[in-house]
Amino acid sequence: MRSRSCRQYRADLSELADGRIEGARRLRLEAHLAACPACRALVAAHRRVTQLVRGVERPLLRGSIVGDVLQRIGEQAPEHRLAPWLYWSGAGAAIATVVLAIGLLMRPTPTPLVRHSPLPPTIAVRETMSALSDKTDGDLCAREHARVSASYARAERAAWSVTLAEGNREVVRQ
Amino acid sequence: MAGTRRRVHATRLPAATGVLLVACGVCACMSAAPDTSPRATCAAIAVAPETADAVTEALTADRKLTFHAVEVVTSYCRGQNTEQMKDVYSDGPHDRSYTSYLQPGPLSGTVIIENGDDLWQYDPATGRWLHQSDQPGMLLGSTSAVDLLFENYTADRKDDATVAGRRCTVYEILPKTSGNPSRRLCIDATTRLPLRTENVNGIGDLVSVSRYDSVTFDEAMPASWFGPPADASIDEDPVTRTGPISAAEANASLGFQFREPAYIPTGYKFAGAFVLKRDFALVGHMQWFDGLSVISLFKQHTGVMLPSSGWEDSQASSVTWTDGAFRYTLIGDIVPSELSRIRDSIR
Repeated sequence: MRSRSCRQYRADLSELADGRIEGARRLRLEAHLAACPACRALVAAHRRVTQLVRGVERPLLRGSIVGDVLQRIGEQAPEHRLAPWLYWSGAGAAIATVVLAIGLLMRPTPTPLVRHSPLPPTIAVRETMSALSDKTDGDLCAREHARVSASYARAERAAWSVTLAEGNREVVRQ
Repeated sequence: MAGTRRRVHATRLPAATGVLLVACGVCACMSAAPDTSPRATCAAIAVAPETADAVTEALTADRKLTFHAVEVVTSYCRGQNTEQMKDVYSDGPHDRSYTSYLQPGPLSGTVIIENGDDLWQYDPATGRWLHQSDQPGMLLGSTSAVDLLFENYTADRKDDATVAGRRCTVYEILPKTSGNPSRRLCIDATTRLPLRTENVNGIGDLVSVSRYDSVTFDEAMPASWFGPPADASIDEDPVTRTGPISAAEANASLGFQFREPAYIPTGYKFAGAFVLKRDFALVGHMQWFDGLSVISLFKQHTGVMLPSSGWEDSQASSVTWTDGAFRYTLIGDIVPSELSRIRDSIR
């Protein structure tokens, strides 16, 4: 029952975390959150990720970073008494670093979320939220254990068949 | 599951069968290259040749037979018994079966069809079928399930019995290392099919008994039985599995460290890892096998940092805990102290 209820609210949780939901809908959601630690954790995770995303997006709004850097290099260059080759190679490396950083930030994939979050690189935000709210974690483990156990021999298969059948049934109904 | 079972035996058993052929001179149905390793020889010596022969044949008998049976499985859990009854049509030579659940009530009307590596399950409540393919197998290398069984268990012949009106020979499979499960098999004297199986867990509790109330052999079974109807509504399994693969391959797919525990009970061999994916959630699954019993370890990223103690739920055969942002589940029919020891070796 609890998982069905969670699924019913899940679509609205991200809107709630972003402060984009009001009125009776918000009250209903908050009532559910009060009784559901899993969904509370989900909202908290979403808020953290949102903050991280905002932190990443900010530099992109700043106009031409490359121009700023070039200008500063130009301004500061006379003050440095470096050998010309060292000066130019340092400037080149700085430009290359900035261009590379901007290139990475402007990639169309949501990699900035991953790079700046504590999550492993192959898990994106939606993955995390799904994992958090999936009540079937335990069911999935039991079913998969039953599958490998049942794969051994007929005698084992009979013993695990209820777990398998019930697990599969839950999968169908979700 | 039939497909799975067959895959394990078809791909891994020949070597083990060879062990028995060389060491015992039995098991005429097997024909793989002999394994003359000391371990294999010792394993064969531990079990009387005729007993090893009978048990080995029993484990693969359903692959060779065509039979129709009413099977009853009674499960015992914390003082509560549950009983399931199934109508089973098994066409072993063609690697397919049709099972219809008669009891318990919630599963009544459920149908499971297995055909090769495909499985379909019908849910009468929704009128829909679930389709699964690529049934799991085990990654045992040159070792086979039978090798492991006789390495870690002894088998003794007991008195005869009658099950479903047929004469049976009773065999007990007992662990060499205490804390592991045991089995008591009533094997049909004519066909070698196990007609009654008692499963006892590592602490000595009877976990389940499966028995055939009736069984008939060589019934005609049309091919059309072993697939869903043409107009069926079929859903694909939302869980996809990659495996069995090595631990290193699983690590690469998961994107987080999923190491083998420093401690695994004596006799268990790494039998492969799986990467399970459902929607966007990834779960790592490793399995170890000792010839009779499987230990499973699951690891999943929860997405939030939890206290290192986390929440913990311990049952007779499973323990779940969290560590940092990860949730672990450990399942096995072994004594709880061994489960705890494995868990502690991961932390």
